[in-house]
Amino acid sequence: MKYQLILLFTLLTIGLSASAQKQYKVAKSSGKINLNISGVIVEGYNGNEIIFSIPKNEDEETDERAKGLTVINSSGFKDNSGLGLDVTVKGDEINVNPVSISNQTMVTIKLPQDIKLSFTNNSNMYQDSVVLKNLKAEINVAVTGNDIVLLNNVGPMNIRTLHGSVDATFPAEPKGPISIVSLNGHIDVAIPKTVKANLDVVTRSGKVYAAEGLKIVLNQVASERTSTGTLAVTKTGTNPLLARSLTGNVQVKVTTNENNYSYTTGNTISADGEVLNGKINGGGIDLILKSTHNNIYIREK
Amino acid sequence: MNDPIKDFVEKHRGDFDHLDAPQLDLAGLKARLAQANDQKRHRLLIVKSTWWMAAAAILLVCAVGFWFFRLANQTVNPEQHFAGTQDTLHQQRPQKTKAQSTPDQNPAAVKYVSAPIKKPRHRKTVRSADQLNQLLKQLNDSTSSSSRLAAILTIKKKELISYDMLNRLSGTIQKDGNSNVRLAALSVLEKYKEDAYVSNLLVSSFNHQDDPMVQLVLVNLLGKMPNVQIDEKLYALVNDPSTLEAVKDEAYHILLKENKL
Repeated sequence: MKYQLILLFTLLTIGLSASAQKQYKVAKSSGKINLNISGVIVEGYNGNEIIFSIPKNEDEETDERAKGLTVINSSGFKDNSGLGLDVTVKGDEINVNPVSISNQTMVTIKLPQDIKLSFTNNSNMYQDSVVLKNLKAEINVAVTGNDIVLLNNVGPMNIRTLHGSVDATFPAEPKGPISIVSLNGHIDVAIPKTVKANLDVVTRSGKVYAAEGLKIVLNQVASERTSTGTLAVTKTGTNPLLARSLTGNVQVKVTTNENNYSYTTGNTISADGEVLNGKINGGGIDLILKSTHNNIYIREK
Repeated sequence: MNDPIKDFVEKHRGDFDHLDAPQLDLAGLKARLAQANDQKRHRLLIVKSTWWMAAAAILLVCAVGFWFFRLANQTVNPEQHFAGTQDTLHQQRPQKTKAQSTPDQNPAAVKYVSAPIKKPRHRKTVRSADQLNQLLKQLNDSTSSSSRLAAILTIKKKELISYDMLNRLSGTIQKDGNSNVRLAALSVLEKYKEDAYVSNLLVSSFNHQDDPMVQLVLVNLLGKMPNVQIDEKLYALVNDPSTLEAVKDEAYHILLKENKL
């Protein structure tokens, strides 16, 4: 739901500001684009140009002294696009860097569908949303705190965010492998019922929610989690008997000559969480979903 | 006609006539014959068994030599690559059989020799060689992290494990530019974490790790493993201001558990 709202907002924003935009175009229909900016909306389309655009700020004052000059920063990046971005084409690669780290505007990019995309943002301060839509080539996203929305991208894709969440909907025939990893954020994926996939889902302190309609068949549970059982210990005397479990609570039943006592003790060591391996529709592409401290939602599209 | 023998007999006929013909001792003759046969048979048996024993000894020596030769050929060489030679095409899984040393690892670490594996048919071997070449190519594909990830997932599924592959995966955990790829490689090594060789690789990967996601998984994994010493690295992590809070928390947790804080 969240990503749908973001998309609606994005489309409205794009629609309203369409008549007042600054644009920069690069003629390219293949290769790879490397985005090192704070946030972006990228939409794949069937064309031959990469079109960068930002909303035109009508209130922006023009510095008359700067006429004929170009903004340059300490990293050597120049505002060669007029959008506050350094856009450099080097062979098959298109590198996009901000000229001003602190004063970045949300950029919208229309990207030919077959261009690979890599988005990187290691900043702890400047983090906008990353919305990627209708792309058919490989996607790589590695960010610290950005929330990521993926809409109908074919893949393959490697997505990693430390503190942000990932919301994704997949097309009917996605390409694998798809790996989505978050440390603290949730992962919410919507999968068409017909998709065939091998699932590898891991969360340490979250839960895994899945739609029944997807008919996920789980593999046998990992051996570590089945290594439970009853250990009979006969002990006499006054020394304490220590019992420790790495994967769950310890239940102790004390039997004396006269009475039985039974109680359960809390586990001081964190549990391993959930590790689910299974198949959807008999297996197919590899779909890896890992959130260390948050929930994972697998829903039907 | 002059016949000297006839003349000699005629001359000495009288000398022989006083001798009586000996009586026939049939029983004694039979006994002597039987004894002679026995002696003959016994000698024959002695000769035959010696030869057999000698032949058996030679055969045994040959068999032992051949067995050692085969065993030496099956020993995994960490420097060997899957690609190129057919000797290394077997799908090998590390199994603890005997201690050896490899050049780039701790000499104290326990090493393994691959379990004897049936030789695949030639056609299958060629196909495996192609497949492994393709996988290694994918694993080294610097232009596509998805390609590297796909290679690692294939290695994991098909258990294409050798010393060389383990070392490569350890390198991936330490140096790959993509966290997802590093985590996938780590998940392969995690499967064999009980092996001393693999646990050494994991510790080495942890000591050189700069990716917080991978650090977190490694702290959690190695912290639970007995006989693994990572305390120094844990102290370094908790004292490093650039360490991610979640990693610090995990490191504190392990140190607290071991009563080392």
